[in-house]
Formats: sequence, C-alpha cells, structure tokens
Amino acid sequence: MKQKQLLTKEDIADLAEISRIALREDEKSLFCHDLNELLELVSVLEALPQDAMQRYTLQRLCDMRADAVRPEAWEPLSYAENIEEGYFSVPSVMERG
Amino acid sequence: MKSIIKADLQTQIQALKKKEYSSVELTKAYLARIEEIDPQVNAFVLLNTEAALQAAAASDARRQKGETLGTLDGIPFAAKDNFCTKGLRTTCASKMLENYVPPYDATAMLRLQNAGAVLLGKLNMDEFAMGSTGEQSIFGASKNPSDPDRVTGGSSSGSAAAVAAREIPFALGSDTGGSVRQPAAFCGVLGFKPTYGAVSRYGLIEFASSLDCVGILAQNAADCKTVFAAIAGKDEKDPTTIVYPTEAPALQDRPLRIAVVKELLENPAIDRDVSKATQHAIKLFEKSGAIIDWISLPSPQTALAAYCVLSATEASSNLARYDGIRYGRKSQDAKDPVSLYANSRAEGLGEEVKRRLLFGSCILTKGRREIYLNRAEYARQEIKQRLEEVFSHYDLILNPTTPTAAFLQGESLSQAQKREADLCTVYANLAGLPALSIPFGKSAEGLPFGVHLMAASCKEELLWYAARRLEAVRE
Repeated sequence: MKQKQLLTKEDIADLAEISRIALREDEKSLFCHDLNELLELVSVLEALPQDAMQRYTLQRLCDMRADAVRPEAWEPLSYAENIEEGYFSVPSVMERG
Repeated sequence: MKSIIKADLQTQIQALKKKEYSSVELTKAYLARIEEIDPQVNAFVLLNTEAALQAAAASDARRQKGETLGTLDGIPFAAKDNFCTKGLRTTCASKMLENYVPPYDATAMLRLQNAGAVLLGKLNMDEFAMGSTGEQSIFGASKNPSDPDRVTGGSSSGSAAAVAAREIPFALGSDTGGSVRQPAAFCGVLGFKPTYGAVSRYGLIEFASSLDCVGILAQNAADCKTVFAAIAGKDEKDPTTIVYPTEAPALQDRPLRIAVVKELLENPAIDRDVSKATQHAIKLFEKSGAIIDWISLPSPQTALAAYCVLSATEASSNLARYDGIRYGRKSQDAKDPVSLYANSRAEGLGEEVKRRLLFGSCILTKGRREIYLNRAEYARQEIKQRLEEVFSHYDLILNPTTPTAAFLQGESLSQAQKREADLCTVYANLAGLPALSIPFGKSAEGLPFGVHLMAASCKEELLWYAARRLEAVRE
C-alpha cells in the first residue's frame, strides 16, 4: 500500500531551519520518508474521542493559576549573578536578522 | 580471582565485610576482566583506573580501622555516559559533547561515591539516550554478550552489556521509554526503573524531562534493591524528587494479586517464544499461590504514539541548547551566527538525534500541535488514571519486557519496527510508575528474554518481593 505523503522535502527544509540543523539533500529525502512513517505511527492518536479531549484540555487550563505577577515571583532575582533595573542581566543572544 | 567477579553483589558485600578479599583486589579483578573481554563487548567508553584504585585503597583503609561509609563501600560500579562526572569526560556518545568535562557530579553518582562505591568508568550508549539498539554511538555499538552478532538493545547498551559480561557488578543507566529494561532483557540481566522522582536526575543529561528516570542494572533483585537504597530520596537540586516512603507494604499474609495485560500478551507484535516464556512465568506465579487475572489497558499502540510525541517534543526543546555557543562542539565552517548554529548541530548530532529533533519540531508546528501533542497529553492522563484504577485491585502488572529477543546488528528496520521495541515498557514511563525486567526464558537460538513487572507508585518493595520469587523458581 502506498503511504500517504504528508510531508514534502520542502517541509523538511522548513523544519530543519526551525530546528537549526543544516541538512544535506540526501538527508532531506531520508527524513522526509522517516517523518512520514512516524506521523503514520502516531496517527492512532487522531482516533481519540474529540469531546473528551477538549474537556481535558479545558480542565487543564482551569487548573492553571491566573497569569498574574505575584510578589514571590521576584524571589529568583535573589539568586541572579547580575541584576539591572530589577531584571536579570544575561549575555546577549544572537538571533536571525 | 575469576571466581570473585562471578559472585553477585550481596556475596561481594559479605566477602569484603569478612575480609576474604580487599576492595583493591576486587577492583583489580574487574579491571582485568575489562581488559580481557571489553575489546569484544565495547561496553566501556572511558576507564577511571587510577582514581578507582585510589578509592578502593581508601575503602580498604577504612575497613582496617573498622569503619565503612555504607553497604556499598569498596564495591566497583560504572555509569552510562550521560551522568555528569566531575573532571571525567561525559559525552552522551555524541560528537557534540566529545570533549565535555563536567565541573560537577550527578547526584546519583555522588551518593554512590559518598557510600564508598568505586567508579570504574563510563559506559557506552545510544547518542543522547535516543535509540533501542545501542548502534547510535560515536564509539560504535556495544556487542551482546549472549551473541556478538546481536544488538544489546538501548539506549543503556554499555550498562547492560557490562553487567552481562561480568565486567561490573552493577551499573547505572537511564530509562525514558524502556532504555534500561529493554537492553536488560536483551542481555539477560535485571533492569529496574524506579518511581518518577524517587531518584534525583540532577546531573543526568536530559532527553525528555517528564519521562527520564535514573535506572539500575544488576544480576538480581536483591542487588538492585541495595543500590536503589543508596541513591533514592529527596534532592534539593532536583525539584521533581520526592521523599521516598520508608514503610514497606506487608506481603507475607496474603497471596500476590497479579494482572496480565491482554492487549500486550495477545499483541501480534509479540513473538511466539516471548509469549510462551511469559505464560510460563504466569504459571509459576499461579503455582506459588498468586491470584492471576487478565485485564485491559488503553491500547499499546496509543501508549507508544503518545510516548513518541511527548519524548520528541521535549527533546527538541531540551537539546536546543547544543548549538556550538551555549553548549557543545562549535563548527569551524560558519559565515554568520545562523550558519554557526546550523552547522554545529549538523556536524555534532547523529542521524537518530536529528530525526527525533525534526519530528519534535514537526509536532510543535501550528495545526499538528493540536492534533498530536494535546492528544498525547490526554492519552497519558487516561493511561495514568486507568493504571491507578488497576493498582487499587492488584499488586503488580505482568507482561513481556520486549516483543522479541535481540535482533541482528545492522538489521534494516522501519521506524515503526524500531519503536515497537518499547511497546511493553512505555506505560511505566508515561504513568511515572516503578517497573523492572527479570531475565526469564530463552529463544531457540539461546537469546534471553525478560518478564516485566510494574507496580503502583513507590511500591518498589512489591517488585523486589515478586522478582525474588521468580528468581527462586527459575533457578
């Protein structure tokens, strides 16, 4: 049986960029085949009952505390080596231009 | 001195206590064994000879004064190469970390050494603990001592091979989806994964943090229990650790209640010989008075899919730090920061690691995250709840450890076939429960199998008890 092509080589190139891994052309072909196999393997999850899963996701959101600043949230600053104006001071990180 | 390395850990502890031989003699006997057999087994990736002999001499000096640091004082051991060891290279079997020398010790290592155990060296593994054959290593594959043409299993390949080849009385490994129990079954030794949080993971290089556990490989359950007692317990450096309960469950006054998972034993992936060996173990338990019932769990394929999704997504986040700047080998072939990251990771990471990181990134993309990751989390919750329910009626769940015996080195397997090696072991990781694999039965080719036992959270005592009963009838 022919496997359904879910990902293309171009998709793999995009994923490699996100993952910050330089891939050769032969690797793109290999991973295209393998990732499609893996997606096929995990497709069994799609059969899980949608309504029960939505209830679970909603419950998880309800279980989370409010996204608000609390006084104790600042305690980690006491462990920081360098603080500037109430913030952690860390080395600059190079990002894509 | 050959006979002393054939003895199990309990015998060696007693012999050191009675001064039948010294720790230096024991350590030298193991070093000689490693020199003799390791060129064929390829379990060790680094030997700590000088420091080990010094530690052994210090242990002997303590004993001369009538002092010891603990039960394991003077006993040699080795650890998978993903445990940080202060001043000793720790590579994760990856080019990315080939020259990494940690400035600190993992808590499990420190606890063993503070108990007087003697670190002989570091052991081979699948790169970053990703693999089920032991073949994904920059040091080459470890060889199965039962048959060198067969894989050891993985990812704790060197740990299983070294214990099976009697190069060491016990070893530390790590278990994310079965990485201690599966190679233990393939090599014919006991492999144990504790309750999530029972043993500190501080200094264990991460793969998938919600699943990773420190594990133990040894000759038998009593040996494993002794090592577990030395390393378990709360650690302030790992906030996921728990205060391990000291009260053991009472067992002598009633029969064991054992559940057998229908979906696993009747699964088409399970080899006939493996199934027969498991049935035999069930009969032996039944004969010894245990109550056996067949139960159902959420399908193994769903559990395996949830594991694949969760482990890959966590790995893609955990391993993002290896970019040649923050951590790891730096590429010399880069014209800008972006190509420095991409080339460092391309050169430093092996094929299986790249595959899993790409798959993790794929799952985390918009659209797929909702389809797969949320469902995998839901499946994990369902499995946890169902197992809690099962353990309110039963002491243990019994099944085979692996669907087959060890496969041939270099065998071409599909992604599904590779992942199936974890089919029977992933439930314990998803639910954070303790489990062990006991060597039990052999294939027609003489390859060992394992019987897998799983218990409720913090009920390790039940595992030791049942394993000892099975070991007694097996012998």
